[in-house]
Amino acid sequence: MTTLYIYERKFIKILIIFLLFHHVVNSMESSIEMQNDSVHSLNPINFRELINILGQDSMKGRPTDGRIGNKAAMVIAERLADYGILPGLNGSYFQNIPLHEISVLPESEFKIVCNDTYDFELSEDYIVSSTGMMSYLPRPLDIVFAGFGIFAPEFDYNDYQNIDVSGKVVVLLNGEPFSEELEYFNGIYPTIYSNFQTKAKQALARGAKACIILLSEKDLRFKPWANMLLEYSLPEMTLAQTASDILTIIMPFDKANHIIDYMGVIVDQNEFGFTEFVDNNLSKASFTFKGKYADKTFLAPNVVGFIKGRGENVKDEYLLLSAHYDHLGIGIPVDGDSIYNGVLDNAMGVSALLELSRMLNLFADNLNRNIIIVFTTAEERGLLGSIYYAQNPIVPLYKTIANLNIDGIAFIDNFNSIFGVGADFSELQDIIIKVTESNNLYLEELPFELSKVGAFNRSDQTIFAQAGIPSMLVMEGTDYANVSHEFGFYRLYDYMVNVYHSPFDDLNYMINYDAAMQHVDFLLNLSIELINLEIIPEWYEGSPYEIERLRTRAERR
Amino acid sequence: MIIVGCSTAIKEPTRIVIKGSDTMYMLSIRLAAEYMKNNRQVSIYVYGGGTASGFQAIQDKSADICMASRNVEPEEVKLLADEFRSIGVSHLIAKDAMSIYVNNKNPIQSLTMQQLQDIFKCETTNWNAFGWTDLKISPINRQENSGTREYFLTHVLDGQDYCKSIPSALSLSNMIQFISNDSSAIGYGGITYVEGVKHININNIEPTTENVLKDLYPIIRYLQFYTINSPTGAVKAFLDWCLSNQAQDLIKEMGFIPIWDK
Repeated sequence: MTTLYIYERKFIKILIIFLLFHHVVNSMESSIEMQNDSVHSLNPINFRELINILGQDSMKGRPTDGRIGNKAAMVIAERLADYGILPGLNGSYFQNIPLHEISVLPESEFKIVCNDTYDFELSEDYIVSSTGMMSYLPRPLDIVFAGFGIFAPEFDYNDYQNIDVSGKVVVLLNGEPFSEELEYFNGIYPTIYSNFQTKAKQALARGAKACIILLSEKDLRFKPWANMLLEYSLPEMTLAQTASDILTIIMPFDKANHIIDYMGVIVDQNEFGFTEFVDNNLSKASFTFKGKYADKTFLAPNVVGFIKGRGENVKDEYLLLSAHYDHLGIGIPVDGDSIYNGVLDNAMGVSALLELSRMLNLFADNLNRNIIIVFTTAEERGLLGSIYYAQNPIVPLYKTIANLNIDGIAFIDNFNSIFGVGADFSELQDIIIKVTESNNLYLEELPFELSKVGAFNRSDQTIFAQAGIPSMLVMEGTDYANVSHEFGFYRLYDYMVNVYHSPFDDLNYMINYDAAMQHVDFLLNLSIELINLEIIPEWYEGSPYEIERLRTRAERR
Repeated sequence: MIIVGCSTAIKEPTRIVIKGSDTMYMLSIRLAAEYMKNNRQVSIYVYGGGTASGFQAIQDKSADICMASRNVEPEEVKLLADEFRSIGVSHLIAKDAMSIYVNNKNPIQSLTMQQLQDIFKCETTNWNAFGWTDLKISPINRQENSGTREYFLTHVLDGQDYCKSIPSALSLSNMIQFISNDSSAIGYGGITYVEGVKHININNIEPTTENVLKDLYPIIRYLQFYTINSPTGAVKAFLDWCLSNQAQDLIKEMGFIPIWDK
């Protein structure tokens, strides 16, 4: 899963507390008897063996780097071949993706001149969220303040009104206007406008040459600077084909407040972040950035397999099953361990998809549609593998009836409920309800808080949805079969706060493999149901992804 | 059963227009020719004129693809955003080392970045400052529209202005002709152009593929194609092909650096 932002971690904590009380209140109504009489012969030994292979230290955390990470790709491809699953691309399992990786070097010179000349040091004073294709800005540029840097016509809000930023550097506040009303900027929950990339692109669209985003005290309480450094310790990575971008610098407010003062900008902040600001336009400050970089371009593969349906009523349509195989590689050591093994995220998901694929291939005579199996790379680096696939699909997008993405497998306990993340955007909801009931489970409603922090947007399924394919991610629910809810939430909290995206997500982490196999079994049943549907699922009217489906159909792509 | 990749097989005759960087002109001609041999329904036209003219051409829709030897300028993005609600898409095609050209008779083997700066700011005006003969230096610039000129100004002159008296060549070939006819001349451009000029080292580092790949050579840039939006149809098919083994081999053959190793 992609990195959690500051506000997401806070809401995960709120969510866990909320769920604890929510379940205590509702436990009398839920159906908690769980039976598992599946006749499918999923192989738990296979499953665990694959997890051990992919999660071991010799895999070096499965980075997307065109070298070490390709080892995991080879393992996956070999397994697909062993299982008799066909290569997805003209005799090859590998969809090679041209990627560009850029590291900012400490020798970079970042200066602001106002009443004095201020030199800023990388990591000590700032980090770089985007290099803007290795920006080198040696000519002094005027700095302009533009509030939150948001243009949101749906809220009748425009920080850029009457401000000309063309050819200049904008300094912006992190976050967005505070509100307790859901109708305005989603209330206390962040919208996409809080995203660094959104702010940068809005500045670029107005001709800004760079932007500086200032973090509030509240931001740094939830994610201290040391954690920000960890999060941004990996180089920037983009596809070789990518949207234009600008240099985006992130700094704590107190590193720049003397410059803000000099410019005549007054900013208030409270426990919710920045609140009000006024720009008195007193004096000009100027900016230079002489970036020094190390970069490389390389190929890294999505691994793609194909199962041809051989059922009596086989259709020229496809089910897309996906799981990302990359993780974070070798990073900043924690307690002496620098290998970010990514066992839960997502060696287990990959192993699950491989085992699913093996079983589905055995059932091919009973399948009425074909299956495309994609193990994506560079998910952790910005969902790049799925973005590339969506731009270069193996089969037409409009013939791909649905996507089931696997990013995380149950690890706490056998479960009586599941979440269908994203199912509520489309008719996948009806299908997953049917399958849960037939498996003696129930579909738990995704808590409002989790949907508001964009659970659907956290992994590859969001990219496939944006390509028009009804997509979802199935997670185990919080109604556990054997352990108490308190214990379950404790494990969840421990994972999210202490293990996720750390070297502790490794083979030593306590995993309940019975729960994992139950999850895989459910996914198998769901996959078969999807493959053999009479009528393909459609987006619900008004879903933000519906229009792209209509376009791909019209354009037959 | 073999899955045929979901590529865009072009059935109707299609015309693609590419305009922009003179540095990329011959490269794009070769890529276009090679592509058209196997895609007979596609007709590709390539025009030079400088990177800026390429951005202008995609903005006014007289071209589908801009050839760019520099990054897009935010002011150019703003024009795209105002008109098309898009910030444009960059497609990396090749790497290039920016080389310094002198006349074949010039014995100088290497200059430093500071020395180059001094020459193009007219602060050093005689070749005897570098141990050659008493001969006034004749620097020549690329034309105003040139991405190479802009890149040189940013990365060699560190953003400072060129000396105003330096003439501008009308085109890359014009610059090379000037330098090959004048023993005192000095200019700059991509590493592939070797006929009639001598390439010298910068900081004693030779402009070779190896030195570029090792990040040793100090002036390295990406050659890019730009489109307004993510491409579809014939344009996408051509751009995708430019990243293929065949195209990247051709790029290497022409003296540029492929963007990935096989």
